[in-house]
Amino acid sequence: MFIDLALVLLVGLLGTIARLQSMSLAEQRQRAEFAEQIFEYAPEALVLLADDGSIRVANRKARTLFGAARENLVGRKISAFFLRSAAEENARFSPALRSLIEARADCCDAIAISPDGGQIECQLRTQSLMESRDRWVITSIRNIEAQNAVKSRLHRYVAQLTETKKALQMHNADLESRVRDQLETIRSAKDAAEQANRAKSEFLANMSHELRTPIHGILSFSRFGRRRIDRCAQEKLIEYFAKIEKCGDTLLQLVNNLLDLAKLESGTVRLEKENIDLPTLLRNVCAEFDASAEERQVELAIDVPPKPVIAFIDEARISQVVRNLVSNALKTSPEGGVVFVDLGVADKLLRVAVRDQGPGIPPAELESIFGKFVQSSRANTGAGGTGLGLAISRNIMTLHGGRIWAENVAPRGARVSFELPLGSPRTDATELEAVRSCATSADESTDRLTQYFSINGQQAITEELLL
Amino acid sequence: MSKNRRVLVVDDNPFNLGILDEMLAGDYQLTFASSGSEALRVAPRLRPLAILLDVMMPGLDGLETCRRLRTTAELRDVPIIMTTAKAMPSERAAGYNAGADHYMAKPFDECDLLRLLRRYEQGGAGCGHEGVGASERG
Repeated sequence: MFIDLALVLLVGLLGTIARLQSMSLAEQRQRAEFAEQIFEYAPEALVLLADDGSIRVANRKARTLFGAARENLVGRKISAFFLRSAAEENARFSPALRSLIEARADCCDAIAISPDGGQIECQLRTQSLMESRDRWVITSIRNIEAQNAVKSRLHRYVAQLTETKKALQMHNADLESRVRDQLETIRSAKDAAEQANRAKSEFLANMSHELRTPIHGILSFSRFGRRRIDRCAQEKLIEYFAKIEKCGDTLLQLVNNLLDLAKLESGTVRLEKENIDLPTLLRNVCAEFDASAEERQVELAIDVPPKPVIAFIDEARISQVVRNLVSNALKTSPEGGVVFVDLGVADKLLRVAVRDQGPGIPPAELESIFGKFVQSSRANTGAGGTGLGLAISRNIMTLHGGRIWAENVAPRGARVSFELPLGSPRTDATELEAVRSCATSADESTDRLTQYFSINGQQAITEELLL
Repeated sequence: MSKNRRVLVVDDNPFNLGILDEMLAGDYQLTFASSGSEALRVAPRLRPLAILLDVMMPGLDGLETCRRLRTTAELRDVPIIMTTAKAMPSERAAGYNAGADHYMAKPFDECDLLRLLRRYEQGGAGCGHEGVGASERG
């Protein structure tokens, strides 16, 4: 602003000088000297150019800028002090400067060459001295390095801000999607927890029901005995006691089964596997039922291969499954019926099937009977049965890498079968796989699972070493 | 007219029927039905003093049987007592919603059952036995 003002002032002064021909010589000289001084000490580099672009006068600042003495500047083309790269010369500097000189423009940027050969960004502004005879042009040359530096810093800063903003936006989007994912995870965890909670409530309701039936029997029959002791026959009292005993047995069986199932579902059960002959196991278990089969007038028919069939299993656990299946079959068999126990071997699998001639299982219940506290609606025969036997059996089969299922057979009756790999000690991989799916379906915590795997892994390694 | 002492007992479980038999046989004439459909078949011509109904039965369960008994004209005024091991509040509510007059969750005392039946008979006298328990009225 100040410089522009100085220029105007100077131009004015020079004009005045031209007009004051009539002044006294002393006065004229004094004014010229004053104008020269203003020009010389102007706080910006100024040059007076002839219309061919040659320097007529350069002030102190201009000399400092170009690094030349007064006599070295005067007469030289101003373009000599600016960058002359071909591109600059043709495309930017020279035409611009020419335009300036020809008063077609009053402002341009150019790069001056400093005394040490460096480059200085400058802005040139011109004003023609139209009143002068020789059409001189006064030109101010301002170093705009600092200004440009600030500008480019600003540009960089803006670019940086833009970058940062972009990064922030991406980060935000990422955060949003992560929050969405986590919400989804939380939601499904909540659903799972609610599902587990419902299952627990259902389990408690079922357990309450299962406990109440034998407790009702115990309380009822002990009250009957107490209230009728002096008027009923001794046989009647004995019958009451027998029923109390039966209810007590049921309660005990229920508690044992509950504990057993809890242990199996927790994944902490270690199978004690050995090479076992299946036909022998089946014959032994069936022999346990000889008396009760006879009592119910049901025939137990065992069909097993004559030669040994060796499986690598936990004998006690598989016996438990067979016992459960035979017991169920006996309960649902009609008087005079037959319970068939078969063993078949095919494709490295052995299959045991227990078939009865009872009413069969409603199709809708073929799978659900393997749940907890679910008895087939047609097998609800009284104080016996805890509703846990098949759930326990399925857990045991899963631990063995086998499977168990139920189906109806024509013309009547149900068949429950299980399949086991005809294994050697080395086929534990399938077992582990089975444990994984078992534990997952039982909603077990990962910790427990890991614990189980580490225990089982060590066991497998130890077995490897011992072999 | 002689008093109606007929009670219809509906339960698929022989063990439970045995207990109810022991509780009531001294005072009432019992008719047993082992399923809901059997109960629906015999109840209208039986016109019992009361119907004791188990909840968990194959086929028609106790709740559905109760609803159907309630819509049978001849049985509209016959009291229905649910006798069941289902003891949760929600299960009781389901029983009353199905139209039951009383809900007796196991274990229950024969005295309470007898007192209830006496009340139906004539509106009053308590159980002749000792050891009166709390009423099972929900």
